[in-house]
Amino acid sequence: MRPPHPWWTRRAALLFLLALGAATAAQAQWAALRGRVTDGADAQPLAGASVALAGEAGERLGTAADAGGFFALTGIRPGRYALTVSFLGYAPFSDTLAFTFAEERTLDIRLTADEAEMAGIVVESERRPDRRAAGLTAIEPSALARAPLPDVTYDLAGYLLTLPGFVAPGDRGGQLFVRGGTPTQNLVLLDGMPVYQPFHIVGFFSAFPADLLAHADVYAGGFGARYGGRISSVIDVSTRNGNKQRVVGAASIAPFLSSVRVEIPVVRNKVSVLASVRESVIERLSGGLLGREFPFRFGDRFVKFHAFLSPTSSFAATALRTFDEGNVAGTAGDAERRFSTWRNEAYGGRYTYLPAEAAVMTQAAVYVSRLESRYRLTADDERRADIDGFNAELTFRYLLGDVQLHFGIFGNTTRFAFARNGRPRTGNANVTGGGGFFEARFDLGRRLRLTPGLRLQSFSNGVRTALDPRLRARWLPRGPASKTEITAAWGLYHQQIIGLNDEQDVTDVFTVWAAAPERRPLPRAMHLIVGARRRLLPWIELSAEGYLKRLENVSFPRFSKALADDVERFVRVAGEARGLDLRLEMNRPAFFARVSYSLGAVTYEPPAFDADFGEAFAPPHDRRHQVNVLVAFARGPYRLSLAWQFGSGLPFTRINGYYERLTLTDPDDDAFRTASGETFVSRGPAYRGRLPAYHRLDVSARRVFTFERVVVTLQAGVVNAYDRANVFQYNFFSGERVNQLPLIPSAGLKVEMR
Amino acid sequence: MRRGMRIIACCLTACAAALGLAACDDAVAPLLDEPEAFFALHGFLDTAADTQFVRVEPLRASILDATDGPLEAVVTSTHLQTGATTTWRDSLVTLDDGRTGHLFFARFRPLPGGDYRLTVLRPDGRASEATTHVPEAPAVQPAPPSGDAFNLMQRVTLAGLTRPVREVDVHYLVSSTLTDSLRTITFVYRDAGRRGAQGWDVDLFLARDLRTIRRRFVFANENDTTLTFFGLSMSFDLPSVEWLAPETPANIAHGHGFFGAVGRHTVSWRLDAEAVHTMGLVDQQP
Repeated sequence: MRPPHPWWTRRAALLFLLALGAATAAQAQWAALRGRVTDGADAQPLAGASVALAGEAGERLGTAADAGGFFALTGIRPGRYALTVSFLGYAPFSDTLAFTFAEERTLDIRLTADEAEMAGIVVESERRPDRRAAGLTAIEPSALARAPLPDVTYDLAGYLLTLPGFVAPGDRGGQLFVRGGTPTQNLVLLDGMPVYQPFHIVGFFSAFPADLLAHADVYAGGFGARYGGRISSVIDVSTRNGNKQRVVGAASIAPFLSSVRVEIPVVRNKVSVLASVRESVIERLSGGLLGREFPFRFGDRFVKFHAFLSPTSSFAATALRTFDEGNVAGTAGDAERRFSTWRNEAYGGRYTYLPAEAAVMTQAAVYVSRLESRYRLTADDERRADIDGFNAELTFRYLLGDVQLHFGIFGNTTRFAFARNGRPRTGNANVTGGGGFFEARFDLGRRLRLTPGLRLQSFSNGVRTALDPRLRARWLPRGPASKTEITAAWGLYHQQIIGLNDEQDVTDVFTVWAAAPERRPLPRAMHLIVGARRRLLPWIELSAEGYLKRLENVSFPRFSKALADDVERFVRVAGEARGLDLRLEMNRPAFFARVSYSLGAVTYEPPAFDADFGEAFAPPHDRRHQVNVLVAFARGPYRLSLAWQFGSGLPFTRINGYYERLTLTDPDDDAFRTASGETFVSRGPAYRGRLPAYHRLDVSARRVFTFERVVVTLQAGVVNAYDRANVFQYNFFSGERVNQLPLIPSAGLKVEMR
Repeated sequence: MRRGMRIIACCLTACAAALGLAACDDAVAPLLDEPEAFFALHGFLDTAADTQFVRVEPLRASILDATDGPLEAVVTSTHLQTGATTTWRDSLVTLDDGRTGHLFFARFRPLPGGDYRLTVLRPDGRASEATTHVPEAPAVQPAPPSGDAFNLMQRVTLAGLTRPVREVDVHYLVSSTLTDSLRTITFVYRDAGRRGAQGWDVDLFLARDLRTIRRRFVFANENDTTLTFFGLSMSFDLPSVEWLAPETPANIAHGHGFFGAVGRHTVSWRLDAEAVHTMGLVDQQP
């Protein structure tokens, strides 16, 4: 029997601690500056604000404020320095500071908006392209406004679907596939809290509206060591804090969704509460407005409490609840069959501290996440699956000159429950896990930046410890002025908690979360990403990114070729997702356009003993070609957005035909000669067919009326402007074809008090 | 600027071309162009029957299409050891739900131990096929009887059998010593036995059966008390392997359903003379 922790993992940990101690000691004799940067108007942290020190002797030190607005500079040699803190759209802050040996200074810097610049700031900020590196797209909330939605507010879900490599099997169901990874292989975090099924049943919407978003880091692969537990992608969403200066809020109404948001400064400049309620209205309006039923109900509730406890510490508590229900096949009035319900709950608290005695940002956090899923297949067959997770983590971010270290420890425990009426199959289980990660960022000269990392994870259930090395790199061939940027990422990933889902039926979004089988290899993946970005003109950027994901031990539902519509069992398959994303992005003050093409292929290798699958096959989310065109015009208070999406057909299993199956179990029973049987479908080889291509044009126009303290936005738009009959599902058993949304006009009104 | 415009123009042209191509077709083609299965067939060969039956249904293109039409198919069976081929005849039967179905039949008695291939052939030459092996009668290995007059029993092994037999009946051929009126008395053992080292073991409860025989037997008079024992036999059904998992048949190619066989066999053996005597019978076994 092999020991749970190989000798070299212990030795690596020891070396890491020794190196860290030595580096810290070397820095201790120099001065340090830390603090936070906030918006002087509402005390919002200004993530990414530039903090620069220029010494009299010419030495320069700099850093950027993190998501909480905190920054730290260490290794400051004694002397006088010019401090400059700047952020786009704000008047820079300057001061002169003198440091002595080992001096510790803390600053609370409030930037004020530069009114002269503010008129152009909307356009200016939107001109910033999404920050991208290998696999990563860092999304600012303003970017979300480019994607036209049938709603006056914006949402991360609608925007993600305009990015290459993101595939949804339809405009409903809340399933998002990222570069070959399935929804249950995506790690979705909201302020650090895992959210198991965050996308609403109507595909435009998620639990992440633009109004709440501070920023989102979306890794389509190749994510660093601070993320774990999933093998495909990470969507890490950070919400903003409530206004700490005055009470503000907004209310909106549109055919799909209505919302109310309020922000209250509980203690001025220190403590705020942000609350949001969104609830669908489409299920009530669709009959009269659209002339057809749209029986989906969804919504979410969000509350965030944030407090600056001191200039170097803060506390945030976040709560989220979502609900979704409906028959994903869209059959109105059939509440007894194929009816899906899911409810997320997530609660978390984070304490962030920048201690005076060390240049380390410390963060302690606990999160509780829960998902309740129900699926009523028939009136007497309801399936229930629950997952409850508790996560705790303690992370540190060291700032050692040009080297940044990020490391931490974490632990989690997860409970699963599954029950199915009508069949004696009920399960309950618990798994626990824990481990640590370490990530370092080195700038080797002015051209190369390396971010190696290591994640060590231990699991219960007799699963061996996993050690996942990761590496991210960026190379600027001509230094910071380079027009070309090469990025790459590589890593190994393991996943203990798996989601079992009937991927062959897009209307069945019911997911059973469970622990990976005991004493068997965990699902795992290897990612390799290489990308290049080049600025062709100051306002045109071309990027290309190739990726490879090798998957192993992935659970996949196996259908009998002959039997009826039920998963026979799950088999473990190996697979590979590979592809190339090309993206051309144009930014002008009043014009934004992005054209992207994604060439991808996902193939699964079935187990050798399972002859029914035949050879390698493409799973139902294998979209080979994808084109996204996103265009936004802005002129004064007017904005026009267009999004055209094209996706080649997804695989499906074609059939030989239908037949009636008779029951023969007794040679003395000759009833088969005249019996009528049960209809079965005879399936052909798995996934050799392709559905028709998908394409759709959405258009949205809006006009903003700005008053002294109120902003009114009117929106009008149309989804599926040329009324393409995009197939959502072809039901073999009823012969019925269910299409995605037809042409739907929309109009919305939003009133915002600022 | 001009270069940027050229890039934009290229992209828009590519998008327009993609749209033009993609917009052509939005139809779903659920049926395979080259299907791999053609018929559903349900039936079995029975060694005890003079006429064999199998229901045949072509795979339908639509789930709603359950029309009663003619079936263009030729059904044949071939005894693979000899190559003898039998053509089956179609008959229309009224099903339980009022529709009509195609019940093919052939007048022959399958040979135990034979392998048969059933072929359902379409006019275009495509066919569904199923093969089955008709179970032959196993060799019988009777163990020496054990026990005394009150619990005498005997284990009989059907050699080489690894799967259950069903509908086991045990037949005693006896007569009154006085009248010589020969009678066969049958005991139903149903799905008796269990898997043993040499085959399928069936335990016969001879003493218990004899007590029942004595109660049932109609004697001529008070002096008629002795029975003569002429022999012992056991009949049983031996289904083919397909009956073990009838919902997942592996013997049908290019089709679905069920096709199996059943051997209905009788085996006999000579009971040990001492055991006959212990039971108080007069041994007259041939």
